Amino acid sequence: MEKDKKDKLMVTADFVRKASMEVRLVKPDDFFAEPISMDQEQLLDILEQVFNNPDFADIKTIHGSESQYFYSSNHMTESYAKMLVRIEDKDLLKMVAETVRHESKIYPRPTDGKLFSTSPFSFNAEQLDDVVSQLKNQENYQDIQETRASNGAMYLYSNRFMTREHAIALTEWIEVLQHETS
Amino acid sequence: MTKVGGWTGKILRVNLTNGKISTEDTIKYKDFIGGMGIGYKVMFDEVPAGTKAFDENNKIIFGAGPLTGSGAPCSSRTNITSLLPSNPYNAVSDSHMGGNFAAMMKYAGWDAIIVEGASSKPVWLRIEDDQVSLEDASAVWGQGIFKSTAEIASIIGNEASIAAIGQAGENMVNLSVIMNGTSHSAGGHGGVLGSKKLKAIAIKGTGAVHIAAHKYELLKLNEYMMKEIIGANNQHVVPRTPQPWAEYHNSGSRWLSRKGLYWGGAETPIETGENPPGDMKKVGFRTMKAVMDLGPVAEKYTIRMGGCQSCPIRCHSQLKVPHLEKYGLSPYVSNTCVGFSGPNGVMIKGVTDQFEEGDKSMMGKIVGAQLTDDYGVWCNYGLIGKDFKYAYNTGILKKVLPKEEYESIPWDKLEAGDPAFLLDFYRRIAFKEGELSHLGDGTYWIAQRWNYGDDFWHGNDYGVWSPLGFPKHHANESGSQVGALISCMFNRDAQCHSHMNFIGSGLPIAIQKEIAAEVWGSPDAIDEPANYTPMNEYKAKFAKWSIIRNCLHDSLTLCNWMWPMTVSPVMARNYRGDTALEAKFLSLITGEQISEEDLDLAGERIFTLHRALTVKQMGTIDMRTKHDVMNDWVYDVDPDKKAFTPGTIKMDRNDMQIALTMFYKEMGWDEKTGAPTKETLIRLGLQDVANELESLKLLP
Ligand code: SF4
Repeated sequence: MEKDKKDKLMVTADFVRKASMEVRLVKPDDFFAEPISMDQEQLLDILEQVFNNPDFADIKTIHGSESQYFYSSNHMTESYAKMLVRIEDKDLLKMVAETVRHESKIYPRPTDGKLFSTSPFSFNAEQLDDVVSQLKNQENYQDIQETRASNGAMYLYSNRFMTREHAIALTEWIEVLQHETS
Repeated sequence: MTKVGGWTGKILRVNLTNGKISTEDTIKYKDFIGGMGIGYKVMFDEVPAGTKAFDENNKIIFGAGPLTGSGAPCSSRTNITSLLPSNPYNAVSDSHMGGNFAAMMKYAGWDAIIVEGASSKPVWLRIEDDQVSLEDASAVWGQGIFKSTAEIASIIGNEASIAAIGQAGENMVNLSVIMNGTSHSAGGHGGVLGSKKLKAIAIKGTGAVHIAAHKYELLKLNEYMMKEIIGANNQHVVPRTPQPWAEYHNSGSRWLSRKGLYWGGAETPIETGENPPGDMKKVGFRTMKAVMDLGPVAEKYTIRMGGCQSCPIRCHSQLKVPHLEKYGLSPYVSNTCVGFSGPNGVMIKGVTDQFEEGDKSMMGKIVGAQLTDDYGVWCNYGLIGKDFKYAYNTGILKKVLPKEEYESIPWDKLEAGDPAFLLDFYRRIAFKEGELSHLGDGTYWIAQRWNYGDDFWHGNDYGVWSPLGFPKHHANESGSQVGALISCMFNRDAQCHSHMNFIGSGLPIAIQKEIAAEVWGSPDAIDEPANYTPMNEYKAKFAKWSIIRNCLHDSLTLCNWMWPMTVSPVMARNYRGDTALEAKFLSLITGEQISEEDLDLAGERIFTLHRALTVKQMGTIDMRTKHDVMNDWVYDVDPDKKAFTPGTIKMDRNDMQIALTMFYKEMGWDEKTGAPTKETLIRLGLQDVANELESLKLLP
């Protein structure tokens, strides 16, 4: 019985680890389906044990607006998991705004619009233009502002964490001036 | 020298005037470590004040250090020391090249080569272990570097490392290079070899560098560095794009590898992929710099990333671009950074797409690199293009060039953004054809000759850092007063990356400030980019540390485009690097216990010797007002903004004087003049230097 339980813990953890290696988050629904096939009660029980067992310290949980998700910190950082959650939430405005606020706050730097065309965001140009124009009209996102480098590249910053002058100077540095040095 | 690890114990001296070849013991220079340190000591002891770069009395020293050839990562840099013709005082400077020349010199049994005198006819120096001879170079004199290297290799053997000059060096163009491996160039001293009629040095070494420790200890240290400490080029420790393993990312990072990015020109294209810390076999994929330097179109032409001997980073892009043949150039091109962008800076009207959409960034750079690498022209860290731009845009060229010459220049190609313009331009520079070729004299000289206005020197458009005619190079834009101080201290653009590697690592400011507090004593040693604060003593400590580590690296010899290892890509280390790594390697390799502090003291000694050399050559102790000077744009840029407000990198005049005083104090130099004091020289074991300066009345 004990062994069976341990195996289940291992299977659950490995399921999460494998998903993280494949750059996916795990949702509770994924545990209910094949091959894990748990019910709600079993899942709660197993998760409690996973989170209290140091052998599974890499298994982490993170919350989106609609769901809880799981990932393994052996294969994915919290910051990357957060990006995936924002994508899962399918609220593009919030995703862009939170990413921009985060970068304006911690680095600090304006966010290169091209970031959203790379993985894991993978927007096309129209999607990004659309999101940026919608941001301008929403009260919640009035802190998100746009700057342009001299080569026309678009950057976004949050004026909660950065002044306009600072964002303009850094945009030009990141996009143009730093490439003139080595 | 008693056999210790690291050093070969022997220095080769070649007198080109009388053909004498002799050997000296390295022990005499041990306090100066190697490379740059040996170079400065020889120059101080043996080259009289007032000597000019192309005088027979000038010497040129090719130096390596105890770590070169040992297998320590990023350790095959050659340091070349001599008087610099583009400097108005012909003050001493160093130029560096990577490749495999330094390691080969060590394998042949030499820590350094001192070249003195001047030959009456073209020669090349042949070194096969301890067999050394001067050979007739008449067959290659007049040839470019590519052909000369091939011809000499056909005589000595392909396995030799050959450092050569092109026509620019032969013709004593001030802005010329010495190059090995046909793309690893050292800018500034090519003409010194030309003045001595020494076309090349070719070395074949079959020995090894003795390592004191058991090889497993060295392997263990190597593995620790490779798995836990090393990042990508410039020690950038976060990837350019978000990746699952990474907590942070930065669009300026040189850690470019990612899924879907290939060495696309390889026979079977190779995906660079994600290369998290820990897998040491994949470190070499991280720096996929071809697309950074040349644009996305370069991906499909990139055969692989190459680099220097014993370097896992591989920052040299190696491409095959068949379009180059349309310009009469080889399709195989290799270079990195300013080796690409500098020569293309002459295309002041930009380059248009030539063969396919988006190739404009690549074509100008690779055409320029092929030409300047073969002729051996140096770009003065990109300033040749700015010098040209000013003369062209202000109409000076029309005035100073004879009409016939002016009309013979294909300006239509320049205006049309056709890189074929560069074929004509660089030929004129390398062969000293006509008045235009004086652009090869260097910024200071051309500005005198053609009477450039204040708007050139002090205008923000040109980026001329110093009235001595050199450009900004990781200056005030890189760490406020720290970068500004560093940029004032040398006799050419500062080739110091210690500070920039840290500032540009890609880590958030909070982590950078924590590390700054641990290494330099306070988080206030660094500012947020473009959001500066007034000077403080910790910035002075940071600037001093950056320079003395730079001097150490050029003496040990390590690549300062990677070292020091202030940060790490490993989250579990909280991104802390290991600033004692140089000392750890040196201790294992030499078998002597050498601490980080011992090494920093040696770096201080070497840098203070550089300062003494500058005082001696300039004939003044007044470094503050005659040497450590910045052009006005540094203070006057962004006229509508005040210094120390967000969004400007402008400096404040009074604050920079305070910065100089604090820096001089950290160095133990005279706080008024910035010249080394007798006490400091004695503290650093430079009594003989103090005596010499005293006799010249050059002590404060
Ligand atoms: S980082 Fe680049 S320049 Fe430095 S040693 Fe490596 S290949 Fe050479």
